Amino acid sequence: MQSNQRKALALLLAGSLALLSACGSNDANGSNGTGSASASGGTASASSASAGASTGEKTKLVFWNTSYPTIDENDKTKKKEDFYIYKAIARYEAANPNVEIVIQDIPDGTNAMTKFQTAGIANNGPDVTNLWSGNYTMDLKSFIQPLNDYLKPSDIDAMTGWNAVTENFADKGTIYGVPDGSDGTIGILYNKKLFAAAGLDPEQNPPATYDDFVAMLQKLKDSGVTPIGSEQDGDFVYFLDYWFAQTVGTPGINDIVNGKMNFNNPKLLQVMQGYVQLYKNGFVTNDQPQTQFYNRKVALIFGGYGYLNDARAALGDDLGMMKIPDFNAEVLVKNGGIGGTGADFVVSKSSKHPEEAVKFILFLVSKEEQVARFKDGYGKLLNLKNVDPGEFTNDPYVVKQQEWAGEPSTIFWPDNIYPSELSDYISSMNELVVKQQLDVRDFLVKLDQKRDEINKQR
Amino acid sequence: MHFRTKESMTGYLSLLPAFAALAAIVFYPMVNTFFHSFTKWNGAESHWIGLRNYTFIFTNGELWTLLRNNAVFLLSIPGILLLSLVVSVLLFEEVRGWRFFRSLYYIPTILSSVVVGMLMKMMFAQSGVVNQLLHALGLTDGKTEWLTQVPTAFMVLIFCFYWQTLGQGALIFLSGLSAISHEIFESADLDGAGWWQRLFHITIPSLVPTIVYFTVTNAIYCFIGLFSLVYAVTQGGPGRETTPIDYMIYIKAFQTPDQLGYASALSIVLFAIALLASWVQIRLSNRYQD
Repeated sequence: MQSNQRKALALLLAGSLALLSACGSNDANGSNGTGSASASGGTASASSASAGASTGEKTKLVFWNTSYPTIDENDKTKKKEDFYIYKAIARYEAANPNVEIVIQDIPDGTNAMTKFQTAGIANNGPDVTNLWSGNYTMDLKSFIQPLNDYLKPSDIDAMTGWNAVTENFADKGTIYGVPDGSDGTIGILYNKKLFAAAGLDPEQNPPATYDDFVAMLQKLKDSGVTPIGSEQDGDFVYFLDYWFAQTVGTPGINDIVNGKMNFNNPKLLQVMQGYVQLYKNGFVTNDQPQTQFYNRKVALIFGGYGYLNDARAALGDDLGMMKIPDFNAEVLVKNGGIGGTGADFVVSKSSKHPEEAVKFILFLVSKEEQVARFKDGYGKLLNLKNVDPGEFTNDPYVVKQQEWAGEPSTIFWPDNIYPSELSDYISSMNELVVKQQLDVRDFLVKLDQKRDEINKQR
Repeated sequence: MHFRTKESMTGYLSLLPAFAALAAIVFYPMVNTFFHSFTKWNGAESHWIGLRNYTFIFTNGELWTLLRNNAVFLLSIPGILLLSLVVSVLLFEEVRGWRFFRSLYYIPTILSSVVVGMLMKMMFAQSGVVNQLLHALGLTDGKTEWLTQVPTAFMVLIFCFYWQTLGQGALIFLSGLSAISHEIFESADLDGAGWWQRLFHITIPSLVPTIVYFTVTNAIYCFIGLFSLVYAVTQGGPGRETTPIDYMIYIKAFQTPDQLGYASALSIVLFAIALLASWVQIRLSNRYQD
């Protein structure tokens, strides 16, 4: 009896100790097998890779794919191997037989950043992933490998967009990512037929200022069509941010971020009032803007190269493209738009093979691969120097997008310059503005308060 | 070793596994969160900043919007309480089709909040089935933007909350009703008490402990359990107007860089509020029961 009691006690003690040790282990290996499939995959890759190095086995690199399409909404039977990224990986693995790339699909945007951050905290991040560039990336730099030691000057010279991945947007400094293509320049995609029915020809008479724009929208409305399709957040990033940025200039955006200038100033207030008037006049619908545009129920949407292929497929020769009109004649940057390198590839600090990871990234952004994905219809333009996209496409709008992207009037995404928390806040609050549930002046005051709070916390 | 000492040792050691599990998955995270609420923490590094996180929480004005949002859900509890009570009484009285309705009301409870939320989001979209139905009935123009206006967004969220809680509430009240002696009802019948008299003088007073349990658990839910529903339906919008505190903790912890310390402080504030609300409710209900 006593012996049984002792055994039971010993078993209890052993169980307790095992439980404590299991819960107490917080290193990378300790979290193996307990996280999500992808997270554990990431750790597994790291451990197997280190083992592989000593045994001659393959080095595994985990790639969290946030941007390359791997599902075709119009053809669900399409095999994975038929998508560009799988073909590219196959090419890379064939050229590097000692490397195996494990691709895992991750949601894009802020969800990707959330996942990357939590994985970084648990030290089981991927080897390589895509993030939004600028401050979206810089805000996560605690979990990202600086890449200066792995990049050759020739790598840097071959591409544009390095400011977007360098600390403080400087020309030289710590590089945290590799710029991933270009988003082109956000303009207006419109339906030529609907415009013609309203007696408008923006190719001959493009609207130059806000007043011209409003007159044009009024004609469209009078013809019985909804003029603008816009996302729920009022397309702040694509549209309103341009009027903001062109009014104060890029240095002005930096001053706003640093608190030297306020959002709540007479010029931006005027922009906001004009912007909200578009909603008050009934020019805008926020209900499924792209679908309605492709179905010819909405006359225009704001978009860049990323929307061009789908829009062309839906509207064919009826598709038109023009720049967003300047807000007024006094703006500091004229005839431009928002755009640039909005995304980058990064190597996580959890990676045990940063050199191999950078090699894989440089393969993906090499001239051959950028051209291959461009021809495949991927939603990014080339960010290679001295390459003419006209060689690879017959679509004049694609060529025009590449030209616009290179113009000095294209302003780098302001939402990538604002602290990411502020960008998220602006988008949220702008929803209230477009629904006229928040006064425009109050909106600007709130943005200043948020900016000040963020700066204070820093 | 003395027998009693051995016996108490066995008792303590038997408790050890459960205590170790609690310590690891409850107490350690709580202490860790409390400690980090005084730091600036990005998940990798932290440094002590004293009460600064709490100062920001109480001075930036955001807390009051969050509390208001939680309060809206809190104030909706009497509605679901009443609804659950009525349904459970009808089921208890075995009205026609009660077996079918008992199952029907319980189905939403077994669905995850995210599933319920996504379903409602689709139904209440501008081109969703609700607008189509209202338009077909000639009640609206079919273009109501349910989720982008603050009052209607709350209405949809509360509808989801009710829909998901009704089955569970009816079940809780049914078990409470089953515990009431049939003899009481029979003697009330003999004394000539009508249905309403039985309801207000026998059924409801007998159900007070059940009502307290239901109210307290749902009040706690309104502070700490709304995240998945809000995330699936409105994502806290429009603006931050339907963002409850637990959703803001998520935003600060996982969608805002370097704010894990702030999120920890907000968690401590939420813990204190939920504790206080539960304590007040239990005190009030004790007084009522007495």
